Amino acid sequence: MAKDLTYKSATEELEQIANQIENDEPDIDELASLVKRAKELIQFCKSRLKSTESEIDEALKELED
Amino acid sequence: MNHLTLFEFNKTIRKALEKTLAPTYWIVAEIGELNQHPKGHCYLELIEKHQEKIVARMKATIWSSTYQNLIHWFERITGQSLKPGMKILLNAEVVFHEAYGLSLNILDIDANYTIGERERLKQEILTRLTDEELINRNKVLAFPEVPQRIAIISSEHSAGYQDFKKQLESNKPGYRFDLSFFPAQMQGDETTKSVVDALKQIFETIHDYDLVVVIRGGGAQADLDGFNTYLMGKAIARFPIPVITGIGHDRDQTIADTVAHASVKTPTAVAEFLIASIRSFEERIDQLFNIIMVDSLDSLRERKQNLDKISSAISSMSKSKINQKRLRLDLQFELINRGQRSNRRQVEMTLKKLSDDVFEGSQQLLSQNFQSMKSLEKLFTVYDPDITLQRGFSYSTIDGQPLHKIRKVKKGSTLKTVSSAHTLSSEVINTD
Repeated sequence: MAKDLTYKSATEELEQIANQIENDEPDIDELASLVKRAKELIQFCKSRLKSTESEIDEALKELED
Repeated sequence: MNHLTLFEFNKTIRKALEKTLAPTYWIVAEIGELNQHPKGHCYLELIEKHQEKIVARMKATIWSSTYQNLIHWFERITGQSLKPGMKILLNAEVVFHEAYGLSLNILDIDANYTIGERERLKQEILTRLTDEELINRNKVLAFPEVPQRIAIISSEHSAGYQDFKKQLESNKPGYRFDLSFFPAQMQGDETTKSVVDALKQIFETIHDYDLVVVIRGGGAQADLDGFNTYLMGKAIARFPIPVITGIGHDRDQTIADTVAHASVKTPTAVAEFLIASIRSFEERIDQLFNIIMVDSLDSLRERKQNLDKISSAISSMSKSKINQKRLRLDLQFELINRGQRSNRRQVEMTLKKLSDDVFEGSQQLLSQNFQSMKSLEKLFTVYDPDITLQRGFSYSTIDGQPLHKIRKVKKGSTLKTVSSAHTLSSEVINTD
């Protein structure tokens, strides 16, 4: 999963996926990969919301800065 | 020379004062100093300032019996106790004592004046913040999607801070929060400076935080003056990330509350607010995922239905085709059956004719082949060597090799010559 994923970008992407599925009638293969991506995004958000390993994230971010 | 003793002189002053002065006066003054006597009396120094310069000064006393009553009401109405710097409207009688000099004996204090005065000051500050376009500066900042990294300004051991921490750490959904603590004085004269300093410190690593909370426990008597200063308002308003206040009071809004992004009554309420924000984010993504799932399933179901429709259409179509064919076959079979009987003769005739035709055709073919065989035979006759020999030709070989195939004929070789009548052997004499 992309390193620069944020809550904001994750929700935006989820909204986009929902939109796409609602309006664009993707074919089955596309549908499958969209749902898979949506699941990843949700998992990212949930684990960030609830994980206790924030320190590691913080440390990594400091290294990047 | 006539003279008075000091006591007699002071007595004269007292009498003059008693004669000329009204029994009591209402006076507006600022408290310069305030000391409480162990026996419950309260000694004050009243002052009046013009541009920071003291232009009047007077001692004053509130006797214990009056003070206990008065302070109770005063604190209940204003939410704070008497203290230096406060402007009060007091009712007092002038007392001149020969030994202790001039002072005021305070009989009553109008708490509403202090409230009004404080309100007036507050309004002045709010007007200034509005004029400087600061009043909504913090409010219009985008609230973080997930307020998770929290800078806390509070006093370390305050019940409010502990409540807040406990509430966040034991949140039911199990959201994680990164709390950074910045200690500050939350009451007394140092409050403004201390909180503003903490904000400055947070600013140095501003990117590590989603928002700032300013919290303190309620306490019996909330002293909110530090949160009602221009500097406090300006610092919070100009802060680049949202500031949430929960400074434990329910009377009126302080300037800090007014300019903050959001303000709630207690630290616990701030914690609830943060948890609720995250919960609403989680609900939103859950909802999005639901939409995605439901729509995907719908889409799948629709496709499956289409597929079913198509496959059942294909199967029923082919069945009907097969049936059609079978019907036709049956019909043909029936026709043939029927025709077999009625048309047997005709069929026999046809067969006869057919077999005649075939016979005739093969006869023709045979004679044609015979002709071409004959011409072939003629052609081969021309090339037959026996016939050539009979016409007078002969051919010779040496050691079985035809002459024209031998490159060099040796002298003395035996030449074998064949004609239609003879076979001769001769010796080669010359080879040029």
